[in-house]
Amino acid sequence: MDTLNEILSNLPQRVSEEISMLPASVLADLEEIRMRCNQSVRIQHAGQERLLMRIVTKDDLQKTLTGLVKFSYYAYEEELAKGFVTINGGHRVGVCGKAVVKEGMPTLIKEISSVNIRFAKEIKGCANPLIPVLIEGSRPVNTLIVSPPGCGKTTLLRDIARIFSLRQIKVSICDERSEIAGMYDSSPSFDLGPRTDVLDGCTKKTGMLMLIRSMSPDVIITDEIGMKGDAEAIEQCINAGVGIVTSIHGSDRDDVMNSSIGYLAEKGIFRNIIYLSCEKGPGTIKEIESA
Amino acid sequence: MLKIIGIIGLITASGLAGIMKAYRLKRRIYLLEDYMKMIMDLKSRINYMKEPLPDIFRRVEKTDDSKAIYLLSDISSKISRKRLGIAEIWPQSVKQVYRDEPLSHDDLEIFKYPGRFLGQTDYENHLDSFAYLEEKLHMQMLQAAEEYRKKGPMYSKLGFFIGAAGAILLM
Repeated sequence: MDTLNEILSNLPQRVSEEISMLPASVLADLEEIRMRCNQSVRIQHAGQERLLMRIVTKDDLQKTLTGLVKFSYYAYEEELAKGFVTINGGHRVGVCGKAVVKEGMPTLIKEISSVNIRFAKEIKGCANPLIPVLIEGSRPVNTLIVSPPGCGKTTLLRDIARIFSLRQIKVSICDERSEIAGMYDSSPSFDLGPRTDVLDGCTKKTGMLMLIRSMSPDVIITDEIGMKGDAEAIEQCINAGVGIVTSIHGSDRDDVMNSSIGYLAEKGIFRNIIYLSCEKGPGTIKEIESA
Repeated sequence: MLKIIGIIGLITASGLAGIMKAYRLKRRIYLLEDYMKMIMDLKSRINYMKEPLPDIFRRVEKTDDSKAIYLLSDISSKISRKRLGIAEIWPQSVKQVYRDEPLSHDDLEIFKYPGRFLGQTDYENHLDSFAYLEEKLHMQMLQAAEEYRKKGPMYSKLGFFIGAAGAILLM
């Protein structure tokens, strides 16, 4: 709730007051706060949408974003150029507006038109049913989690890290976007167990190799694999005898095969491919494909 | 007897006034140097750590108890209390923290300058703005040092001379 209060303190006063007055059960299940220019604020909780009274102005959006990035655009410029920032507590703030493009790449988003705050969740025990397929003997099994956005893959990865860690497995998390651990002031915002090390803010390609050399992990956990370099880093993990548990956006095998790590799946690097969906709410396990 | 006491009092008061005037010139140099030191510290933390400003302010607060650090502390507390940005808070705090200090109008304007860019632009722009700020501060420091060199000893002595002149007239 501390980070919720921190986020609320950066929202336009009337919006934060309105949200604060919502029932505790709604606040506990808060998934998203969406603000669009000249529209009412919409909040998403437990799969339902609720409309607030307050109309958001362009100025409100700019001030909210400035507050969320702690008046320090320079500290978040690379993330903002990609359209989102991760704030304290591992919550993700998505931003839309007019992109400023330099040499074919967006460098800035100006004239902010929408801000979407997505709350990171910690659901202890959500990975329990998967443990029999995730651990073989005492060793973690290479696993890929395939999920559309918002279906709980990061929450699942977080709990996998915690459970592995509790089972004497040395876990290293390569947290490029600070979402798995939500590191703040040298500590994670979530319970990741006693044997977990977190490398925060580093690209997966570089970070995974750094972790192999520096922390000698049994398994590396990372989120949203997608770049070509990421796949090469996974191969190096496997060659070094380090297990890998990772995730990718998608919904079926075709999505995996068409991605940059398709060739790894083809080679059978991943012993488990777990498909998630939101069919019965976030975290629904649609299918487990085991090699 | 009363006359002698009056004369001594006059010379002492006048001399102290001169010393105080010279002290204010010296104080200005100290404040400019202190502010420059804080700015360089801030720049290096942004440059090396790329940490957000409130985190930097919190860390810097613990390291020193200078006037410039007090300024950061004041800004830091206002950020958490008020719904205002650095652009509004920084100049307000400069005005408040340096209210009774012997700084020139130009010094204060330069002190307020970080409010125009800090946290509001990209990293490259910060480096350019810091370079500009440092140059401006450096010029003010040279000017203040020159003023002290020229006027400092003069004010110290002048106070006593005026006191002595007054004493002669009284006699």
